[in-house]
Amino acid sequence: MGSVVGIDVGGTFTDCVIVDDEGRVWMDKAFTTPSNLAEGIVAALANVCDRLGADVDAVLSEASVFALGTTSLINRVVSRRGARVGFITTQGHEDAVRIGRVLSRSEGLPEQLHYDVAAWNKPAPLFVEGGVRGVSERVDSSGAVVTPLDEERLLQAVDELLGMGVDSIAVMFLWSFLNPQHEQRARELIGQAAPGLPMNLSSDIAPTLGEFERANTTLMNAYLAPGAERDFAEIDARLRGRGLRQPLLLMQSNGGLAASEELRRRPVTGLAAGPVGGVVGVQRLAAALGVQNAICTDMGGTSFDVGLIVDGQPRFSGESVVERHRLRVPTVEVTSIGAGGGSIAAVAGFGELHVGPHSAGSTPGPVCYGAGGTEPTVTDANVVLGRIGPDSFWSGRRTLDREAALAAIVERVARPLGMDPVRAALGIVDIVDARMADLLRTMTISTGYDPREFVLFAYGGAGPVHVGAYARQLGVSKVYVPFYAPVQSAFGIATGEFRRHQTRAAPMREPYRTEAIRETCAVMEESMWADWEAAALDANAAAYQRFVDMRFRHQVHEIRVPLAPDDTAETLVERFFASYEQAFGRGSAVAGSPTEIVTFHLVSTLPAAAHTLTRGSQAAGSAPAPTTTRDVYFDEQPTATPVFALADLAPGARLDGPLIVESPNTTVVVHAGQAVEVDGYSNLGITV
Amino acid sequence: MTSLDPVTFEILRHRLVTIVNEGAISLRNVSGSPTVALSNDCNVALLNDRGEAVVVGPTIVTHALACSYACNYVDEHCTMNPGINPGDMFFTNDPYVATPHQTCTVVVAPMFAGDRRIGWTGAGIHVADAGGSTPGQVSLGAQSVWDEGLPMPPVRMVEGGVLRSDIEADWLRRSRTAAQNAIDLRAKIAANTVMQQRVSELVERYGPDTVAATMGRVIDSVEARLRGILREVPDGSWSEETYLDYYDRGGVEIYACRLTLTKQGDSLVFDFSGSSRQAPGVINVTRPALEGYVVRAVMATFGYAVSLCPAGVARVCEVRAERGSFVDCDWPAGVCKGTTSGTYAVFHAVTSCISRMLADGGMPDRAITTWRSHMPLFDFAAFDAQGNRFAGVFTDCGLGQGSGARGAQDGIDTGSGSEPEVTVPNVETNELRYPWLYLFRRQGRDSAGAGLRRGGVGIEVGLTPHGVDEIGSLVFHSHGLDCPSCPPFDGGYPGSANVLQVFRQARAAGSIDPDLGSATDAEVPPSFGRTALRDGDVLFCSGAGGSGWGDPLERASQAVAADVASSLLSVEAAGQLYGVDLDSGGSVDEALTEERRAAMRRQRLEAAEVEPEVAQAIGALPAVCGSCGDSLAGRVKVIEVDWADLGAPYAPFTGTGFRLLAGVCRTCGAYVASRNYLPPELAVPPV
Repeated sequence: MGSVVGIDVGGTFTDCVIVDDEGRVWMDKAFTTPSNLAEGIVAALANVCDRLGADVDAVLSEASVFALGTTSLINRVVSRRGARVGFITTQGHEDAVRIGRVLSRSEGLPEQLHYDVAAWNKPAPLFVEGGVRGVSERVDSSGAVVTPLDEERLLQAVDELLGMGVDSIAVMFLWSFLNPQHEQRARELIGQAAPGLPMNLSSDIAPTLGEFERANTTLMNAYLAPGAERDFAEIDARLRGRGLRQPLLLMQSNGGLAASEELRRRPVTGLAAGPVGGVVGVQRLAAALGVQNAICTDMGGTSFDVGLIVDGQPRFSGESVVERHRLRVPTVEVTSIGAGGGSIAAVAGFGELHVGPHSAGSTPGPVCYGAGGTEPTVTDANVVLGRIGPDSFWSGRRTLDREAALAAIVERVARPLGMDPVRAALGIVDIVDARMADLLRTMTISTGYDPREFVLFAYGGAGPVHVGAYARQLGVSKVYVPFYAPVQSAFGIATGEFRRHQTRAAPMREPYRTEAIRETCAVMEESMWADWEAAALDANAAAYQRFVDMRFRHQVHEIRVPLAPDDTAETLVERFFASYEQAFGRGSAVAGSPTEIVTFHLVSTLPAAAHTLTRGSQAAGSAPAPTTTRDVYFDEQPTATPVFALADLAPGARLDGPLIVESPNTTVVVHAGQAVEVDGYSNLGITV
Repeated sequence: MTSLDPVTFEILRHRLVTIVNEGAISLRNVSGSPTVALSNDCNVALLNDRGEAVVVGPTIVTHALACSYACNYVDEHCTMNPGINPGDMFFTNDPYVATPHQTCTVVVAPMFAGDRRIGWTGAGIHVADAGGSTPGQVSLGAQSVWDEGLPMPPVRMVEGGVLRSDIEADWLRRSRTAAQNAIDLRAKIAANTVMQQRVSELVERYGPDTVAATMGRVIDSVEARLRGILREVPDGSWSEETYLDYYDRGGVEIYACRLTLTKQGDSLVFDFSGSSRQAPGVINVTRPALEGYVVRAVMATFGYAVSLCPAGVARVCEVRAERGSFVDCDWPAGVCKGTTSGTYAVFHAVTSCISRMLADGGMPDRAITTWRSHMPLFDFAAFDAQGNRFAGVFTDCGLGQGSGARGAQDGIDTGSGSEPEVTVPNVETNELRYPWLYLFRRQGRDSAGAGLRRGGVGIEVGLTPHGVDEIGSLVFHSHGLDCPSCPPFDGGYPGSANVLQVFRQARAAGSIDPDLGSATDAEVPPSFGRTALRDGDVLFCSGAGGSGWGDPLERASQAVAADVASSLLSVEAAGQLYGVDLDSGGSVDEALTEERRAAMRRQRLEAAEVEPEVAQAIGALPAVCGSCGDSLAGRVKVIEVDWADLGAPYAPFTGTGFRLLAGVCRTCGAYVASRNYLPPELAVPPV
C-alpha cells in the first residue's frame, strides 16, 4: 500500500499533504504557478518529499491515491476564459437565463453593494452574444409531450450556431428532467450533424425542477468543459511523466473525489470545490475524534468561510451562486463574509468604527507587512496587541512592523475617535470577533440547531488567532485547532472519499404508495451502481444514503428528509414531520396537512484509501517550557504571556491560558480561563 | 443617556441586524406560503420605544413601516385598556392605522426589561385573502371600505404569551384562506418571539440602557449620514406629476399625483397638494401608507447609505397632503389595493423628484428615473381534474418589468423593483402548481423607453389553460394600461404600456406557436374586472419597460446595435427611435446613421410648437444644451412626440389624452427635456 497524496492549489500557495503507509502525515507548501499549475504541484510535492526523505518519482509511482483540488475552474469563470457556447432551448423561452427570475440582477453581489442601485446588473449569459436558438417542442408538467420536437428547425439552429463559431452546445428543454426524450433526440441529431461537438443536456447535468437554474448549470458546464479537458489533461500528463500510476482524482463541490476524466466531462460539479476541502478535512478529523456536530471556520486574509457538519455529514445545498451565476449542483455549503486578517478598520463620518468588508488583501496587505499598506487591518491590531509576534509570522520569513501598525491605528482609528491606541486595537479585534460570532449563530440557527451543541474547528492563517474569542461568544465549549490547520484543505483532499450524488424529480402526492417510493430508489441505486462500475470501482463497497425533498402541499419551502431502506409511506411522513419541527420549532407542523414529495436524492460514497490516521500516545510528559514570554493585551492592561512553540508540545501536554502557541504558519491565542491540550493526533484542543 | 463607545456600538449594531435576520428566517420558514417564500412579501422590524423602526429585514420595507404605525396606535390607545404587558402581542390589518391595505397584516410586541419597556418587535405578512366581495386582495367595484374586507384595528391577539383563540377565530372568520392565515399568524408570532429572546440576551449582558442607547444611535447615525448627503446637494424644488388609471363603474378615470419636493439644508418636504380627490374604493392611499411609501422610495434610492433603518430616513422627511385626496384618503374610502395602486403613483413621483435632485446635485450615478411601472396583476382560481381548487396571483409581469434608466447606466432589463430579493418563480414551478401552460415568457422587444440611457425592457407572457377545461375566475386588478406610469428624464421617452389581451380559441390543440402578432381579434378585458379562460384561449400579458434618460439620438450607435443583437430592439425601432441604420449583418452604417440623425434633428427643429400653456408643463430646463453646449436661455421650444412614432408598445396611449412633450434645443435640435402631460381637465379634479 503506497502513500496518499493530497494537493490544494490556491491563489498564492499550493499545499501538499502526504499520509504515508503508516498513517503519519507530512505537509509543506510551494508558490502556485498560475501559468502552469503542474510546476507548483510538483514543487510542493518535492518540498514534502524532502521532509520525508523520499524521491518524488518514487512517491508518485507508489502512491495509492493522488487527489487534487484546484481553483482553475473558477478562475476560468472569473476571467471569462470559457468556450464559445451555443444554447438551444424551447421556443418562447429563449430569455429564461436573461430574465434570471429577476433575482439575478442582485444575487451574488458583495454585501456592501446589496442596496446599491448603481451596482445592480445581470451577469452576462454564458452563451455567445446572439447564440441562443428556440426550437418548437413542448413537454408539460406531467411529462407528456404537448408538441413534438421540430427536428428540421433544430438542425437549422445548429447550423446557425456553428456559423457563429460556437465550440460547445448546451440544450435545455422545459420539463426535460421529467421526460428527456426531446433532449436525447437532440443529442442524436446534433451528434450526426456535427460529430465531436461537445454537447451538454440539462437532463444529464442538472435533472431538477426549474428551467433557469437547469439552463444556467448546463451552460456553465458547456462553458467550462473544453478548457477543463485541456487543464486536467496537462496536469495528468505531467504527473504521469513523473511516475504517477493511479488515476488523478479531483475534489468536487460535493466534498467527494472523482476521477479527473469525470470532471472533464462535468466540470460544473467541481466549480465550487475551493473552500470545500477544509470542511471535508474537519469531517475526517471529527470522525476520528468522535465529534458529531462541528462548525468549520476558515479565517484567511480577506474572508471568513464557514461550513457545518451535522451528524457527521457536511451540510449540503442543492444550489450555489458562483460568480453571480446560480447553479444547481450539490455543494457543501460554505458561507462567507468579508472578515479576515486583511479586513480594514476605518472610521465612518460620524464616529463609527467599521471593520471590513473591505480588505487590504495580500498586496499591499496589512500595514505591518511593510509592503505599502496604509490602512490599519485586523492583523495590525493583533500585532499591536502582541497576539501575533512580530518575528513569528510565516516561519520568520517576514518580520512584522509593530511600530508602523501602531502608527496607522493611532492615525486612522484612535485619534479620530479619541481613544487610547490599545483600546482602539482591542476594539478592532472585538468587532471582527463579534461579526464572526453573529454569522456562526445565524448559520446554525437557520438550520434549526443550537450552536452550543457544536464543536468548533479553526484553521486558515487567522482562524486560530481569533477562535478563542468567537467561540466564547457563541457559547461553544470545545475548540480544535487541527495539527493540519495550515494545509487543512490539502488534508481534506488527501483523506477524501469518492462521492456521487444523484437527483431525480419524481413529484408524488399523498397518499403515497410505499412501492412507488421504493421503486424510485431502486432505479436510482441501479443507475448509481452502474456509474461505480463504469468508473472501475467496487460498487459493493459503496455506502448509500437516500433523501427526499418534501413539503406541505400549500407551502413552497422544501425540507430534506432522510429515507431509510425499510421506510414505508407512513414512516416517511412521520420523518417529514420530525424534520420539519427540527428545523422550524415544535408545533410548527400542522398535523393532518397533506404533504408532497418533490425530489429524490441518492448519495453514495466509497473510500478512496484505507488509511487510518496514527494516534500518538497521550502520556502526560514533563511540562513544556515556553520559548519566550511577551506582553499581550487581552484587555487594556498587558499580561505577561508565555509563548510556546507548537513543535515543543507533545501529545498529552496540557496548559492553562492565557498563552500563545506559535507554529511556522499560524498563531493560536488561548485566553485566560481557557485551557489547551494536545491530543494524540497533535491537534490542539481548547476548552473554552 | 448612557455613553456608548464606538466599539460596543458597532458590535451591538451588527448584533441587532443579526437578530432581525433571525426573525426574518423564522417568519419565512414558519409561513412558507407562496407569497412569502417565492415573492418575499413579508418583513420584520426592531423598533425603539417610540415605535421608530431601527432595523428592518431585507425584504419589502412596507411591512416593517406598518409595524411602526401599529406601535404608535397601540401605545396611544391600548396603554390603559387592555394594557400593554410583557408577553403581549397586538395584531392589525387596518390601513387607517398601520398597513397599506387589509391583506397586509402585522403583529407587534412590546419588549420589556423588567418593568421597563425598551422597544418593540414586529412582523408583517401579505396574506392571500382578508375578506371582501371578491376572492383575493381586491374587491372589484367597491364603493367604500364597507364593500371591502373590514379592517381590524390593533387587538391584543397574544396575552402574556398565550394566543387568544377567540380573537384568532374572529380574524380567521374574515378570510377565504383561513388555514394559511392561521399559519401566517403563527409565523408572525414566532418571529416576534425569536427577536424578543435574542434582545433579552443582549439586555442581560449589556444592560437595558446600553441596548436602548444603541437603538437610538443607529437611527441617529443613519439620519446624520442622510443629512450629510443632502447638505452636499444644492437647495431647490423639483416637481413631478404621475398618473394612475382606474377602471370603475364602466369607465377609466385618471388620478393625478402631484408632488413638489423642496430640499432645504438637510431636510426634505414632500408636498402632494393638488393631487386628485379620493376614489370611492380600492385604489386610495391612507396617511400611514403615504408616509410609508415616501420613506420606502427615499430608502430605495439612498439604500447604499441608509440601508435598513427607516426611522433615520423618516426623520428627514416631512410629508404634506390634503385629506380627502387619493394620496391621503378619508374614511370610509376603500383601500384594498393599497400596496400596488395609488401608493405606486406616490412611489414613482418621489423617486423621480429625488433622482432629479441628485442629478442636479452632481450625483446622477445614484439616480434612477423610476424603479418600475404600475403593475399588471390578476388573481386566478380554477378546479383541476380531481376537483381540487387552485388559486394564485400572477405576478410575473409586475415583477418582471424593466427598471427605469439610471443616470450613468441603462435600466435593468426584466429586473424591476427596489428590493434586492424580488423574484419571480420559474415557469416550471408555476406550471407544476397551477393548470397553466406558458406559450412564452420572454423579454419585451422595443418595450424600453428610449434614451441616451434607455430603460430596461419589460416582460411578455402568453398563457393558456392546460389540463383543465377552463380557468373559471380571472380577476384583473391592473394599472398602467391606459396611462404612462413612469416619467422620462431629459429628453428620454417614458416606459411603455402594460398590456392585457385575451385571444379566444387562438391556440390549436398541441400548438405552442407563440406568434400572436397576426391575431387581430384581441379582446381587451377591463383592467379591473373578471373573465374566464377556456381551453384554447390565450391570455397575453406584458409588463412595461422602464423610462429613458437623455436624447435617444445621443445614444452610442454601437450600444443600439448591441441591443438589436440581443433581441431587445428591432431593426425598425433602432432606426425610428435612435436614428441608427444597421446593415443586414447587424453592423452600424455610420454614414447613414449620421445622415438619419441629422434629418431627425432637423425635423424636430421644424416641428410645430405646442400651445404655450402646455409648453410650460415641460418644467425646469438645464442651463446649457448637453449636446451642443449652447446656452438654453430662451432657446428651447416644446414640441409633441407622437405616440405612434414610439412603436407598438406605446400604442395603448394613443387616444387617451396623454401627450409626450419634448424640449428641443433651438441650436442643434437635441432633446433637452421630456415630460408626460395630461390636460388637467382630463384628470380627476383635486379636493
